[in-house]
Amino acid sequence: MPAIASSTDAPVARRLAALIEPVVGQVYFSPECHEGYVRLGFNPSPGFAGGVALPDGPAYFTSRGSVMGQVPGELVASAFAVFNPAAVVPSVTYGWTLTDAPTICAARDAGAVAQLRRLLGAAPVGLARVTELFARMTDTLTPEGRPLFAGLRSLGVPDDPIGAMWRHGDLLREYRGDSHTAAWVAAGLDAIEIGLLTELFLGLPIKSYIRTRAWSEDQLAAGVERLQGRGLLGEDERFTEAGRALREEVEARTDAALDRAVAALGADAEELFGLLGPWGRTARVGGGYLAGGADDLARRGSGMVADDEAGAARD
Amino acid sequence: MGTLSDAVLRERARRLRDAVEPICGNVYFAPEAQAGYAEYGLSWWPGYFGSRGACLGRVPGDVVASAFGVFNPAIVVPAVDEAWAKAGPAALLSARERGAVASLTRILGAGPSGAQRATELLRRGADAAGFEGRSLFAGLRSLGSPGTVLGDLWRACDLVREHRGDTHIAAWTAAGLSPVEAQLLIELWWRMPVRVYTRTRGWSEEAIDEGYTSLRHKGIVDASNEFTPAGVSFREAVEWATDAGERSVLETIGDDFDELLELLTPWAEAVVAAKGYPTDPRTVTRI
Repeated sequence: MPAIASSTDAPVARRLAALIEPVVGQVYFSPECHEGYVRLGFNPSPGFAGGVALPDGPAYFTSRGSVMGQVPGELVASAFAVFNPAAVVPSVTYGWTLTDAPTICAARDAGAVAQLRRLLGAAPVGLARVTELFARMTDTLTPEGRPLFAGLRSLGVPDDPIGAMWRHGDLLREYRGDSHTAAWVAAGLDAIEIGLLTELFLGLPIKSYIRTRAWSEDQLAAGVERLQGRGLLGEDERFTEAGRALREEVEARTDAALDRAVAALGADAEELFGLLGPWGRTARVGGGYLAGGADDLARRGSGMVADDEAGAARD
Repeated sequence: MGTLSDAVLRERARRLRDAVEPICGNVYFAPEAQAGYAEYGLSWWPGYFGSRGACLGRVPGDVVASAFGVFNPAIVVPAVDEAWAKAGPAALLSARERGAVASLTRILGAGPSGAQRATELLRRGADAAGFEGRSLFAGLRSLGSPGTVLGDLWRACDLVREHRGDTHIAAWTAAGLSPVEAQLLIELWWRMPVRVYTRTRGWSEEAIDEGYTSLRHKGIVDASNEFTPAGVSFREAVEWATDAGERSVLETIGDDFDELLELLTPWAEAVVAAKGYPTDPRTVTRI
């Protein structure tokens, strides 16, 4: 992602997240996924952002939530963490009237792999090596406090070689996301507050991207006020020094949660990044993932729900 | 800042923790609940993981392990598999509720004076809290109210308890602790015999040794596996991060906090006196 940089100065964990994001997060923009969900009775993609097909809200919440099993919408809201539960809960409740967890989870896997195969070819260069390095990292990770990672872990690894790579990548993405949620909860922030701080962290206008998370004007205004009360935002709605430091600390704690994985990757990090980089560029050029990331959605404004962004920060 | 100072928030959050714990945690020690799980052929562990995890839905054992935080997934996963195979989440939710209410009825009577008022105050706090990052709280919120005086009180206490528990898991994972390390620090923090409680969470002697080694490397415990001064500060910071996560709950209860504690405290004491909960939390926790 742009602001959560993949520059070589960034910590390895952050570069990893940025490079994994288009390869793994493409599942949320995959036309093959959208078609699979339509076959289950969901609505089609509601439209495009920069040529990328955005997900239907109920299909998004239900499909990503299904990795945890047939769970109540409240649990999906808690695990996804940054969305207004008033949007999540009815979406999931509706989703379970159309399908069940194993069915939509299978459609999710199939659609993700189909898009990767279309964009990268049946045998992408370095596939076995990337899978091996991903697996070396995921082997070090454990499920405590990490519901989406835990759900994915219970699914096992697909036999299909692209599917296996994708599962390990999704495990790494969701492990970071779950760890990120823990980090901002532990920093005493709520969903709206972290969303607002992340906009500034990503260099986006305040109250822009967060609209994709379905919060009302009043809720956002109250969140800004709380952050100002804590001295994290100034009257001008920009970061105070304390606010910037707290947001960076949340990201640093998120990075630190990947310490074991990064240690396992060791000296092979640059090789992995060299293999992933071209895949991500291909995915973006082919319309499989947002060219810019979160800012594409921020520019598009309110009213629709889509997945982010940076692997680094799913708020 | 919110309406409560940090000092008041910290004190109230811990007093509320200690007051709700015996009332909602009684279900884990209630013979009535155990009998309910036994009807499905479930012994202690499958009954425990299945009944407490059932609010999440029919989730894989790994998701229960993620939500409970400190347990070895190797004991959680087979227990959850057994619980779903023999009973399923709906049956276990029902057995859990029946067991909890029967036990509390035996100890407190069917309608202790002020129960509805206590429920109202607890629910005011719980219903104002968000779901973010809090699995068990979210699962419980997806359930309706039992609809009886004691059932509703029990559910309200459980909501407040699991909200704090979920926050606590976020606090120690964000502090970089593993489940074993978190559990070993609980033993020290609560001045419990070392290793014993951690073993009950399914961890081997080897895993416990590795946990101590890691805590020594971090400077949290010394060569004799006791807290260093920095370790005490570290553990206090984890507890304070947990308290701070309860700000919305406590601020919503607001000025009615003392009234709530006056209602809850005698019930909590009665549960402990009836051996419905092993110890009065106030005697082991630190304010």
